Amino acid sequence: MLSLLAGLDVSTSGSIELFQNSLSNLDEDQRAALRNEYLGFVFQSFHLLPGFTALENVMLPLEINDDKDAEQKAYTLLERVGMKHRVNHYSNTLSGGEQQRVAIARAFSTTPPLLLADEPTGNLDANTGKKIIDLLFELNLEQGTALILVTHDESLTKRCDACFRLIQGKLQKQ
Amino acid sequence: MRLFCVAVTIACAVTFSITLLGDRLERLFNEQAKEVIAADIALKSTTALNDQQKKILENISLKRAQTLNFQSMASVNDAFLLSSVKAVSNTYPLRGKLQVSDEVFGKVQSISHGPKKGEVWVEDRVLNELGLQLGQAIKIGEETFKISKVLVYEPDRGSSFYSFTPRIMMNWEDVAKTQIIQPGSRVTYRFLFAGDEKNINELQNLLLPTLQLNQEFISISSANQTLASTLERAYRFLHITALIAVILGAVAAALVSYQYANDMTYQYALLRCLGLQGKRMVGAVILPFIVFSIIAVVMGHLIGGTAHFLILQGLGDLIPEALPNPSFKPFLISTATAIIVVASFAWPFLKKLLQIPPKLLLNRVETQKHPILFTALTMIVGLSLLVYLGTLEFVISVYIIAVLFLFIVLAYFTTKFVINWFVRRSKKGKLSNKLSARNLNANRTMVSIQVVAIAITFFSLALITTIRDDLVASWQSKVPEDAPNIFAINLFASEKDRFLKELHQRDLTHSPLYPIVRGRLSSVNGQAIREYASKETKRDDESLDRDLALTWNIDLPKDNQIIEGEWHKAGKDIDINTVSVEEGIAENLEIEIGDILEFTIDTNKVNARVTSLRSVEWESFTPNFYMIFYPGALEGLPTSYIASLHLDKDQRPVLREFVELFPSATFFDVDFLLNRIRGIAKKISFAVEAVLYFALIASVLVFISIELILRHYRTYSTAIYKAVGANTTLIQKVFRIQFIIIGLIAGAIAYILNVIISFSLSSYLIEGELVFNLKTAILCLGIAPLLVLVAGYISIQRTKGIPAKQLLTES
Repeated sequence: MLSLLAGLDVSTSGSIELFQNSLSNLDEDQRAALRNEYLGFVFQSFHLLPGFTALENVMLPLEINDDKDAEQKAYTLLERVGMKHRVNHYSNTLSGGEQQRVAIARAFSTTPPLLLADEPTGNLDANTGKKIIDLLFELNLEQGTALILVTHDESLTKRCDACFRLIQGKLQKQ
Repeated sequence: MRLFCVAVTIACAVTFSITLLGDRLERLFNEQAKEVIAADIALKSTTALNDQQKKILENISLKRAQTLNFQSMASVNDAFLLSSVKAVSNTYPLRGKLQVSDEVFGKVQSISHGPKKGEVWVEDRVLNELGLQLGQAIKIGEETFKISKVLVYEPDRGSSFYSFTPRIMMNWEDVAKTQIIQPGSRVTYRFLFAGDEKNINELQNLLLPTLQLNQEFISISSANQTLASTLERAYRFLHITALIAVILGAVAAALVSYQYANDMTYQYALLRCLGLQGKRMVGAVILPFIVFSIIAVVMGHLIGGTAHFLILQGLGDLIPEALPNPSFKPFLISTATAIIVVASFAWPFLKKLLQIPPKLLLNRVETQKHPILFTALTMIVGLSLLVYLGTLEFVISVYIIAVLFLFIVLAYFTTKFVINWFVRRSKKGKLSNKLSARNLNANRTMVSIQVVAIAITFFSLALITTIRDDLVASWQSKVPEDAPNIFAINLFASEKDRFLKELHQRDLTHSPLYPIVRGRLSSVNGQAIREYASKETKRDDESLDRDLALTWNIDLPKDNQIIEGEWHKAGKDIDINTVSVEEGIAENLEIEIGDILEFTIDTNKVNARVTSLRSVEWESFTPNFYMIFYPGALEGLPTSYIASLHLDKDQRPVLREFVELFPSATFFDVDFLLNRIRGIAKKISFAVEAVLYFALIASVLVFISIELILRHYRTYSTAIYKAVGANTTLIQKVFRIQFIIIGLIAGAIAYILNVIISFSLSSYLIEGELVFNLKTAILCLGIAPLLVLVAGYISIQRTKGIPAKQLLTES
């Protein structure tokens, strides 16, 4: 569902309105431009580019956005997520928790008004997962971003302003 | 695993069909080469075999024939003609066929036996010079024979096909009746043998220790045949091309296995997690691998065999209907090749599946290091084995391995250097350049492998093209369409101008007219030739048994090259006659620059100092000479002239006119020889083309496997680019730049190495001089980058318009 919201996938029926745009009316490139401007996405399995450094991964959305200060901003963000010591490490040499921190930094890099996180702790152990969630919420507060989070973790739902449960394809407000 | 199976199948199929084709063609060529000595092996001797040798022969089962050569006067009434008589046993020839005709310059028929008792077959010259017709009688020694056929061609006549004395062939059993052969007569026996290779080898081993100084074996390779060097280079070419195809196949198998191992990592980690261990884990990894390898070997042989059959079909009448049966060798080689490819190129990658840590399943991050040293070592060993199997020559194997090693090192460091340079350069540039540089840098190892594979592919294709062009060119230059096919000899000096006039009137292409004085080499530096070239001194040359064609010329004939000394120059103050000697006879008789040679011409003696040694292209079908004097040295001695000319098919009647116009001259036709050489050259050309296509197929396979590996990465990174907001134009540009860079590095390396290797290989595979080859430059520097770009472009087109989520799932 998050993929549909982010325009990473296309719906077979129905329509999605996002920032005054109907996603089904946009083509692939237009959806990409929309994502770059309004959206950040945190994947369950991180999806960093292997062989790119942590810094390069975070810089990517900024560079696509022609941001002249891409490197500086990315550096600041990595520092903020506690990855200062590993900015020049290749993403495939980082641990799972570290990769997710970099992914979060990347998602926040363009200061998007909306952040989508798809089971961000799904691939992490409980301890690391908790730290990642704390980080996500902290940044969310700092940047005033709307965060949509998908999780199986009941305790996590308590930290959110609103909670919906997806049961057999139907959303129910809790 | 399917892809692995395909790679091994193709490697196996390519090897099998090439070795099968090579093996059968090699056998065919060998069969044809055997014709040159009319046997599998011949023993040449100036005496009959001794009792010990006869006894050895009794115990070996081989087909046998014998011939006896001697010079004798043939006569009719009062006319005499010195002729070269060859007596042949009933089983002669063991290999090849004689060609005879029922009239002079008439229809030629092939026949596999010599004349019957009481009959002789003669060259047309005999009929011409003695004014005889077929069916009439001719006297040789004390016996009179009936001339029953015109002898056109005998397979083992060799390069002396235009000797002075015309051939008369008789039956072996008639020799005694002529009463010519007496103890001490100058004769040459040839004992011919044919049969199993094993028995031939046994014969050679047993007879060798018993050989006298006047006896020697003439094998196919030692027979001075026209095509020997060309054939050898063609075999080498076939083998090297096959080897290149195999190496490309192995590279493909390695690449596919690498990808397979990566794809299967999580599956095997899961098996580990589920508790699979020890032997069962080994079984789980190895069993499918073995099963697929076996399927691949079986499929490879089926496909290879079919391809071989199709090629033969495609060859049509180029290949004789009865191609020799294949030996078991191709099957063994292709199976061994498949095993080596699997064990040393695929296994190192698959081996890591055995040691997969189950925790991979949890964090899906591969921390396991690939055992690079082990992989490299296994591959080097495998490669060495493949190279040795492909060439069966130690020195050349070492050379090829060294070249490949140089190649890999050069490709690796060049790639690294270019990527580093590009990364630095693009830092402040356009985003597309920057991202391309990062992408290349991120996949440094894979890019290097890709560069090596593409470079090897194009290097091989370029090398094959160069060698092929050279081979074809050298054959064409040897036997051009207008190669002289008629030799005219015994033209009198008084007929010389008239002959030239007749040639010009008919607009015929011809060689210059060379004067010929017949004489024998009688002494070297004052030492009589019988002492100088005696059994003790071990100096000998077959030319000593007959008259030599001595000539003079102020110019060095075309196709001749001075290899030592200096060609005599016009206007030079000469105190003594000078002569230029052919290198072969000089080597056999140990003649050096400055030696004084004495020739006996009739009753005259002529002395000359050797001023140069010359190489002669005996295959050129123009008159060639052992001895070329400075003009004037042979003045006043009986001289005749020789020339070669070319007659088209429709110009053949001219020959009859010439025979009438110049009755004393002799014309003979070497078209059959030319056609034989052309036939062989054509077949080899085809074989060369056929293996070239196989190498091309292997190259395509390497391309596909590289593509398969990189597709995974490309799809994944495309998805992420899309997810973070990059548009299609940017993504495509990023990849395009990478493809061009990879293609250019690979092409440049391929080209540079091709130039280096072509030059250093020149003596081994190439005959002509290598000049800048535009074709290889275009291939490496133009087509290679373009193909990489097109192949890459097609593969990224696939991701166009597909949502990021779907691409992530796919990758």
